[in-house]
Amino acid sequence: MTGPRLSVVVLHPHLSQPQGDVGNALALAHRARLHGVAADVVVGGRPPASGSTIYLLGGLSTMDQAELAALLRTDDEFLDAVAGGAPVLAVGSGYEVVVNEFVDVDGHVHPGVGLLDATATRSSVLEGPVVTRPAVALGLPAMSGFESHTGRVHRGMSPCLAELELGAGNAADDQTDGTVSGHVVGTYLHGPVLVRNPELADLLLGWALGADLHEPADAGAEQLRAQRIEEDRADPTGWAGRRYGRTGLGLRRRGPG
Amino acid sequence: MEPRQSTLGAARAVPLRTRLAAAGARNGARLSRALGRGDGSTVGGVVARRIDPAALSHLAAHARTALVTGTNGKTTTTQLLAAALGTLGPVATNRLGSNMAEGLVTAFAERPTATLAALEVDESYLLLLADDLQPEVVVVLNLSSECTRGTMTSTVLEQWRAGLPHLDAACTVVANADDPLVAYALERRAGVVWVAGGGPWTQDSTQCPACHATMARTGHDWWCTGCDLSRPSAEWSLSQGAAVGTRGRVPLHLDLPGWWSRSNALFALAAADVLGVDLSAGAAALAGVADVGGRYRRFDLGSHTVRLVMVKNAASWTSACSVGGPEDTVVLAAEPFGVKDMAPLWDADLSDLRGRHVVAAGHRRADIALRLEMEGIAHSVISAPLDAVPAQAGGTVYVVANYTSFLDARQALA
Repeated sequence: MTGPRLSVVVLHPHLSQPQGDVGNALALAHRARLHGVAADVVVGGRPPASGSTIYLLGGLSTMDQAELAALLRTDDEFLDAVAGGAPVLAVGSGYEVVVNEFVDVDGHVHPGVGLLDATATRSSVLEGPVVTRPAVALGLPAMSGFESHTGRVHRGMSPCLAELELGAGNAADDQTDGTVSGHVVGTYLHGPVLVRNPELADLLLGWALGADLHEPADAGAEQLRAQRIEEDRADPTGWAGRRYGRTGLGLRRRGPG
Repeated sequence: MEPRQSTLGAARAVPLRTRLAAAGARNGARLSRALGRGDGSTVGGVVARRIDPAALSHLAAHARTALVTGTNGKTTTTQLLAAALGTLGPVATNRLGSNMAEGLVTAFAERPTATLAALEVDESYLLLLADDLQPEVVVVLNLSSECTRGTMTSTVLEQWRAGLPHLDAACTVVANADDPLVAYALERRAGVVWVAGGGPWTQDSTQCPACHATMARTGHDWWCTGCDLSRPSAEWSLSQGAAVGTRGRVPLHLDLPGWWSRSNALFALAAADVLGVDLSAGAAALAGVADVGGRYRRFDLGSHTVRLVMVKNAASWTSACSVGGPEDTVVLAAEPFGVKDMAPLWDADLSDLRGRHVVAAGHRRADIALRLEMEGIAHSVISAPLDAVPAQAGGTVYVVANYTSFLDARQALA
């Protein structure tokens, strides 16, 4: 593969508690290949000096959040790249860290990285499936994911990523999830969100490569998303699949799987 | 007065209240099993601790105890260690993986004559339980992220680093030199017996836990590029199917699959050595372990041999991908288990499956198939895991199952 080169950098995975979010890097590399672009995934390291970079932050909020924010706030290479238009996808803990100010899991207030005009506060646990409504302006369909967090994100001037059909998302002022500012997307959607929703991966890739990318979602991803949305609508606890979805082992058949 | 049961003989010095508590534990466990509410090891312990809150330390006072902890391999290592210690005398062990205080009380209650104990303990309860149990050996296998658990890796790591150096000087720590997080936790502890535990999982330590600089690696060797943290030199290692320690080399003939089982056996032998087990006798005892609570169960289906492997987090998914040889088939099987059920698969590294016979199965096969597709790994897709078996040419079919798929399998085979 020749042409543009892309690096997908997973930032400080040792300071997050991954919730499948490493898969977002795989999804970006996979979609990039479909668009004819070679991508390198760098987990916990630095991008090469040349080429475009997409930065990923993910995981569950832990006591390491303050340290993560401090590292990012003083990381000139990262901040310069973002100022120059490099896309960032910040999920869960990462989302809370890139706002202006956040409350950590111990209740202490810390300055955030300030990439999104929002603040994050702390409250009770929210865990379950999420289904978004289509976000027409961003070209995104109804997306599927799951959330697991104790944060509440109060947006300032930055718009949301999507309104919600199901789930709590930002859980602060309205039925929305996420915040978008420039090429920075914050969201509470795990899944991994880019695996189940390749359109969001394409949006980030388009920003990174300066191109408008349109490829249909892979059949596998479409199937996965449709399955999860159907299950989650049937039972918003997220445990529905266990009740009606068992395939059995194949020794004693229980009907079609 | 002679004790009514001869089994109480060795426990004569145990206070009456504790003996009543132990009887309560046995009866509670029996009742729970009779009611079909599980194996009863937790209920039994709850009953015992109601009768005697100090039951655990009283029961443990008469046994030379080894504790086994870590994210992965606790149950298997404990069972292997119990087999090796069995060459010395009766062993109390929590065979069913019930690894908090209640389960440990039941383990002692069910073997009142035990003079030895091999006990797995939950990572976050290790220090608390070590206080009660005063172990002679603590085995620290590894530490990695588990997204389905409430406990954070970093919380456990800092607990270990603060507490492990202060374990009694008479206690020997047997620990994994290949896991930087374990080495960091034990940096300030002298006299650790280091074991080359191996393993492909590096994602939790791509950066140094002490200074966040990049970790450098060559083979299993590792060192921080920013500070002094580096791999301790190991006393115990695996070499060409044998365990090699300071006392020499002993061949391993395990009936358990995977590199991790050989690693677990190495830790078990290193711990057994501390407690005075003859290595040849210990290694021979390990060969008798073929099934750990249904994990690794082997059964025949037509002309094929099938074996179960249970996976629960990203590190164990990663390890399981190297199970068996090139002629064998790996069926990845997953059933639903709440919203995070497939998250560990996405954090795992499946590259060892490249070029192998791979099948995606179970109700969550769409996740598995997409994961394999993204890694460029050829595979087929089938609904029920065992439906994949007849089509395989030969070799063993390993069903690598997530927790719920494993439970289904164990139930179906019971």
